[in-house]
Amino acid sequence: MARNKTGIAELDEMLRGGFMDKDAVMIAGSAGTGKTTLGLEYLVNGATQFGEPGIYLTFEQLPDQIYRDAENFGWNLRNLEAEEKLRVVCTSPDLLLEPDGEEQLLGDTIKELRPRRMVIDSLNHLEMYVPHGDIRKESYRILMYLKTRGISPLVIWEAQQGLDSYAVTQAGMSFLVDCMLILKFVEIDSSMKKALVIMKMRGSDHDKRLREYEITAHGLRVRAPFSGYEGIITGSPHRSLTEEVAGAWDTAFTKTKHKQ
Amino acid sequence: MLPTSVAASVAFNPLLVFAALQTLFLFGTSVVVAYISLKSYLSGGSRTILLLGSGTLAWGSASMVAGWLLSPPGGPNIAVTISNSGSLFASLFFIASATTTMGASSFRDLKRRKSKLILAYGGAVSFVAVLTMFALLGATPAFFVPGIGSTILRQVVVAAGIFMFGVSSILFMRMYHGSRSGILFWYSMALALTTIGLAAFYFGRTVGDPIAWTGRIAIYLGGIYSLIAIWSAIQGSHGSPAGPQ
Repeated sequence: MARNKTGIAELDEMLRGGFMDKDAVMIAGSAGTGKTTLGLEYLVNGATQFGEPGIYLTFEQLPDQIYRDAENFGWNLRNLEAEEKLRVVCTSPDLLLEPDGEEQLLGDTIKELRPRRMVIDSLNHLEMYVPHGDIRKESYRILMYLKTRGISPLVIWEAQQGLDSYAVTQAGMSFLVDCMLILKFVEIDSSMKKALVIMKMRGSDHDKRLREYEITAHGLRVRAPFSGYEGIITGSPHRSLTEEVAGAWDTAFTKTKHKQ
Repeated sequence: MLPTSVAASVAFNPLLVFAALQTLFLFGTSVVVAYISLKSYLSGGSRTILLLGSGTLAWGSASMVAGWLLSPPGGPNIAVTISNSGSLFASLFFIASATTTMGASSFRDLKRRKSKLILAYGGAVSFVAVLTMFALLGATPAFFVPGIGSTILRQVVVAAGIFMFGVSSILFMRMYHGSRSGILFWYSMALALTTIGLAAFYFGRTVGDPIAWTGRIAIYLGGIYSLIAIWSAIQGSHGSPAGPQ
């Protein structure tokens, strides 16, 4: 079965090879968790490693900001645009929401670029422009438009910290997408860490564990699972009793020895 | 010391009780310690802990198997062989654990840690299994001859085990004086009691005589003390000082 690799080895492993082709994917998380970085990395890796052109549609930032921020990770978006591998589209949500807006806004680009991937950053901005309750209908329309054109859409949703997964389901957005990744901050041992979990992935097995990740100078890197911790999703993580005891055991036998 | 004839006349070997005691106090406690060591090694990667867990598992497994094989057709030689060889094998792990100065392996190298863990724990259990098989087949040298008593080989093996258990206990106690960790105190005491138990076996004339029972009781107490060490870890994990004052 065709998979869209993210190019982030550990994440692809969690996804059992990548996102399912043409599946709508949602990245949900609070501000600063790296949603945009992950979205951009997905596009850049698609264009450079897998020969899959992509579109980055943003309602949030101006192109210069995006180019600059991407440069910090070593991604030259201008070059990719020049090579017809990527297109950055910065627009206002109301243009997309007009009747036939998606065709007017993206139709020509899709014909020229033949993209396989697209990131929409973010649905929250779109939500501000639609009457209450219509966001699901509008999102569905846009996602179906992209899917029918052979594009795998990835949408970004900013959710409140601590309520990520619930906020997304409460807003009724989760059913729109086939795969949902949650990014969130967790406080562990008095330091703030980032955790990633695949909440759902229709039609495929996936890693159910919470994994630590970092935003490095080269993009997002997924680390080891948070094994031995409980309550991470609820926002109050603590180590299980066994892990606590194992930690005390290690301290007694190892740390003492190395102090001497 | 009791003369051999007197020792034999007062020997007390309720087989099922002995097997149950060995299983409960030695195998049961070793499984708990080995499990905590396993979790600790996987998260911290300390070789000290890996060796300690492996030694505990070898000791517990050998003791349990010996407990259930005390009275096979060939007499107590099989049980004595497994128990004494197992204790020597385990003591090698303990002394290595107490003396190793190697730090933890790479923080993120979980797969390698798992492989090492399987190798170490698997090796410890496999050794006991192979030893048991060879002993049952009569392919091991005699450790105990009914009517005569211990062989020189047994005395050497037990003496080596006593030495290494004793040294390990002293080294862990030395670490305790540096840290005042209750875990180290109780674990060191557990090893000391095991050393005393083995010493009793060394001087015992026959299986199940009063001296042997003194040794067994000391070793069972050692099992309980290792559980107290785990209890100290539980207390320590909640932030309270666990070292005896």
